[in-house]
Amino acid sequence: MTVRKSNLDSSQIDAIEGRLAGTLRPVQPPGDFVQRLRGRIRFPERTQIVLRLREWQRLGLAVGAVLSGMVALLTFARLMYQMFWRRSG
Amino acid sequence: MPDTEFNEENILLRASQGDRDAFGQLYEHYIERIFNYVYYRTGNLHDAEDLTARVFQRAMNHIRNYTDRGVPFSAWLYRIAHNLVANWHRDRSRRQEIPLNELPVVPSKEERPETSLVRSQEQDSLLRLIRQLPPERQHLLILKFVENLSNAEIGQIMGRSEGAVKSLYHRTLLSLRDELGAQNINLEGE
Repeated sequence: MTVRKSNLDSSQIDAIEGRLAGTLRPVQPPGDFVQRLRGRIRFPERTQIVLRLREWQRLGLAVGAVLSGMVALLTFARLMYQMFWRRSG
Repeated sequence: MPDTEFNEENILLRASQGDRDAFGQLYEHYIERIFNYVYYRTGNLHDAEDLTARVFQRAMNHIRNYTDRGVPFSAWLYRIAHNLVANWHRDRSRRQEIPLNELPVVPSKEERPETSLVRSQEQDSLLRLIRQLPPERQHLLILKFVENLSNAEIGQIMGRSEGAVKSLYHRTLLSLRDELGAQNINLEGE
């Protein structure tokens, strides 16, 4: 079993502190991140966020409607094909 | 920002009344400190960004409930950061092991970017050891070395007496010495 000393001499303290100081140095957060977060914090106001969400909802609704329309059209075309084209062929 | 221009008490009062501009000033003042704390606790740049953003979002959402209890505002922010980092570690340990070589490479303030890329193996080992310490010891080391705070200032933030901080620091150095010795890293090598 190894016996560990429970005290530090000043040279050990200096050595560990030297290593810690060399390793734990202040870092600069990336500029674009700071800028982005600044924008999120200062702007937009809550009302603008709600408005923007409404715009997104509207856009989603429009995209959904277009896709549903296309599916309906495709289904109708297939029905026509099955009923007339394939039968006559 | 020079401290003479930064009247925290006044800014906090305005921020707690919903003044977004005042909260913006708090953000500018504390962003680097919180980022550094999260960065060294996670060792991952992307997660550090994500968690730092969440710290400020959460602070902004709860600033109205903030009451001055005689401790620095930074203690409140660090508490939020600590909780988010703790959750992050919990979630991460459930999902996967952290690759040990996944160490951050962000240029420090003083060094040139290319220099920061060449991080010595011993520094990597030490960073790994630091991240294995209990959270309060990690916090102490970050406040002491990254932020250059005194034991008294650290005590204010951590809610401990100056003597308790000194004692905790000593125990931390002891355990680091033992761990460094266990990894055959020579302390006298520098």
